[in-house]
Amino acid sequence: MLFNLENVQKNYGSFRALDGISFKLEEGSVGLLGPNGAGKSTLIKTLLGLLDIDGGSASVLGFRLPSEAAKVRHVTGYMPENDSFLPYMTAVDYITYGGRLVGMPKADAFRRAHEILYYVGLGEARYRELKGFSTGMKQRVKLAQALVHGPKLLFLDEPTNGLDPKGRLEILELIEDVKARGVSVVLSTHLLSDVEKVCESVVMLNGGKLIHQGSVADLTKSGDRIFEVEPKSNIEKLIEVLKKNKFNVSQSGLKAKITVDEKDDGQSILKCIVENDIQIRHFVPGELTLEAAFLELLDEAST
Amino acid sequence: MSIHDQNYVRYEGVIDDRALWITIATTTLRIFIKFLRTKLILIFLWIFPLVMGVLVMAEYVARSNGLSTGKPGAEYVSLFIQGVTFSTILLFMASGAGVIADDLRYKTIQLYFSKPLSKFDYIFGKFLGIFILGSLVSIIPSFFVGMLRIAMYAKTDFLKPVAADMGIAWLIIIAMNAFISILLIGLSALSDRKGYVELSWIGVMVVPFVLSQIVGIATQDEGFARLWSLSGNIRLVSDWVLGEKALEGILWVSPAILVLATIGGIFALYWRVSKLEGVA
Repeated sequence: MLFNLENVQKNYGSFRALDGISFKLEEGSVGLLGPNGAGKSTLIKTLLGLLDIDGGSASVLGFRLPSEAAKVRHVTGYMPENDSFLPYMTAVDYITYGGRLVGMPKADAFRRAHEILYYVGLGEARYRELKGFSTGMKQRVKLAQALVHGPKLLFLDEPTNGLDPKGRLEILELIEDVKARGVSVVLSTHLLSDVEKVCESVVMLNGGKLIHQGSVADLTKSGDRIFEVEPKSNIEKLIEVLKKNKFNVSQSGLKAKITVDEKDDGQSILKCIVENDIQIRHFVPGELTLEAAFLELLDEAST
Repeated sequence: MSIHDQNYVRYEGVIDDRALWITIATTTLRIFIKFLRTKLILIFLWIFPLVMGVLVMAEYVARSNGLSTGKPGAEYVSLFIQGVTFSTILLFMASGAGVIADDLRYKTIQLYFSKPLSKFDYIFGKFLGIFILGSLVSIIPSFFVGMLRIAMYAKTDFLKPVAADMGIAWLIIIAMNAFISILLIGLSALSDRKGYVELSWIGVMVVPFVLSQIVGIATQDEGFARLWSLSGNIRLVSDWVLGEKALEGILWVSPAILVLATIGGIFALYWRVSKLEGVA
């Protein structure tokens, strides 16, 4: 089992950063979602064994925390969100150092550093100092240091941050390739499309609490139907009217997203709009994306 | 080369994390030695032991020609200790200030502790790396010069006292190097800006030394003037251990100052490390 958390609590003074988190996850790839301050980073630190938990119990890949934290860090790789390297080191030195800090013999770490740098597409730049690397190259080198010792589980914190679309796709392609070779992945990101592309399941946090855990497919196949309506003017009035008529509605830019029962073909919405004399530009059936599901869950959690 | 041309394989080799401090120490040393300024200052600072080596040979020639016959005093050893102390201070002023400050600035600490590295491994590794760097201008030259001096007196009646002085000098130099290394690491742990560490190093080690020299010359009382700088106190303690003239009555002050400074350095390190929880 990848994770087994039961009522995990973590406090920073009087502030409760993790409030009774419980979930079990089998090996695979999981997206860690939540707004800023939801507790994602605290959860990653806890799962890496860097933070002691104040209550509950947790295990990662069968190792209990915090007593077996060092063993957890043997079998996991961590790619931090921000740059974390000495700019005057060369890529190959940096990766070798990362391998040696896990306990790899010098020769093995050096050989693996070359292999991994070629794997992430930095073979030609391996003897260059890191200070000259572009954002995309820095992300790749951070991924390489997380992979050098052959971990069973990868924690990736915002791996596509600051990348152009091409660079983002390349990193996601790499992550998918790593995943295909049997490495479990925990992807913490704000980009829900990245999670949809890479992950099979999601863990959603808000205010230190778990608000959802399950597969991405289940989340985007809720059985409900969604309609997108764009009024000619005054979106606020449309939303007010729909809410008054008991519709489940949310605003997305200049559009209203209305979730209805799967048997509803949208006629009830149209009827309500016509009765209230509201002019509309568009009325189209929408898809329940991960983003919509995420926002809906956040709404539910806050009400 | 794209990933499609590569094959990622899981590492199945040996993993041994029993002495990760060795990795931290060797990498720390290698990083600092890599800088051109470190190489240049190392070359410059080796001029002093070379001059001291020449003086040993000059002393031997003088004795061979009957110009000097008395028992060799410990002034030479005392001067040598003061010289290598100042060399170590100068070396750390040019290189080494970023030993922990750079890890804080570039957030490499969070990377280290996402590996199975303990706080002890990190601290001891950093200390050892800096200690070995300092030893390049203190312990190693003192070994060569000491061996040369012992060889020069090998066939004289003064072999035993000279060898004893050199033995004590090595111990003092090792202790001095450890003390200065702890102080540097302690200062480096207080800031994430290497420049501030360098400035504080100058303020703590270099400026008081220069001022105490000036005051010593002006008042013609070098002993009391030395009390006002850490390197001066190292000199007072080494003079006392070597049986040279030392401050009578307040002998305890110099060791107490050095012990307090060491405690300060260790406390700064402890403070930083105790804040490392969850650095990732």
